[in-house]
Amino acid sequence: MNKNILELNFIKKINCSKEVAFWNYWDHEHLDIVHDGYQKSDVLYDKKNFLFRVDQIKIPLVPFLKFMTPIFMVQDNDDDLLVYAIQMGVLSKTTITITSKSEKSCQIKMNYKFYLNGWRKILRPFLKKLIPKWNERVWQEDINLKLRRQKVKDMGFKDFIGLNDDREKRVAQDNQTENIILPIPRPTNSTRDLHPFSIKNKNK
Amino acid sequence: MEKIFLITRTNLLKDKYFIKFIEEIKDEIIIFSDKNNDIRILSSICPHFGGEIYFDYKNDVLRCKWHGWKFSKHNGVCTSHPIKGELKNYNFDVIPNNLKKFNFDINDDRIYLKLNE
Repeated sequence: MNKNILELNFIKKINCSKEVAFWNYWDHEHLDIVHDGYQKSDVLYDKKNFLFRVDQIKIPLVPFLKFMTPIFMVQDNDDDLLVYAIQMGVLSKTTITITSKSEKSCQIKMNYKFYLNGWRKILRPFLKKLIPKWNERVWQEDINLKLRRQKVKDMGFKDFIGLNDDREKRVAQDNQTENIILPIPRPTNSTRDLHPFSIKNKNK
Repeated sequence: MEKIFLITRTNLLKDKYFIKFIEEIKDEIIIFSDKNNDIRILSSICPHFGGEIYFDYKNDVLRCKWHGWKFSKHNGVCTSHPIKGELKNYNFDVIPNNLKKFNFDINDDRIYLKLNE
């Protein structure tokens, strides 16, 4: 193992499908509203299975300290989502591996790697303390999204439309197990697409 | 017409909204009272991605907890984004609805009940 790399692993189980869990990671519009740690999030480019985003992050242990971080996300295969970022000058790679346990439950493995070369070595104890807190906080804030999303999907919910007007048809649809289609659609005036560098910002 | 009992006292709605899943209608609803004390009941499932709708008392508007989308308290139409889906508006009765209304005057910081009107 490279001595410059700090590696941390977290494993969680939740009662939602693998698709719902991945949807949560690819829904960028909730970040600054649901999560205390995100102040702003701008999607600059997204296509098919990848995205480039810039986030303004508040650090949990020192909330007055804020920094901007570029984020590259890619759905590498059906099971793995990779997230590359540079936070406080530290290159990181996060691998999210989601495994189905049943139709409505899955296991999420979160593997964090920080490249701490040169002066960055001094950040090791800080990151070792910070990342578990960050991970737990984000996890707790996201639980409702995953569980509720599963609940409405079980009622046949359709994105941008809602529940069927006919009460009797408020049941899970046959296509529940289909993979999510990326990128997750955003409205034309989405708050994620307002950055002047955003490919979808028509006023830039 | 089928009726479903919801809450015990309308005054519980002062500055507080209720969210409740109603099995009979297979929908989750929000019950709230706005600035004018008008009670309203709408679906609380955001048609965008299914987030929970809450009533933002400060801005007198319905909002989604997940993405902040805004909805009209009058008809459930999304006012922040042009989407087809809207919050279903439910009819309701307040029973018994026998609160008597009295007219009054305010004079010198005192409230006077007008008995003969």
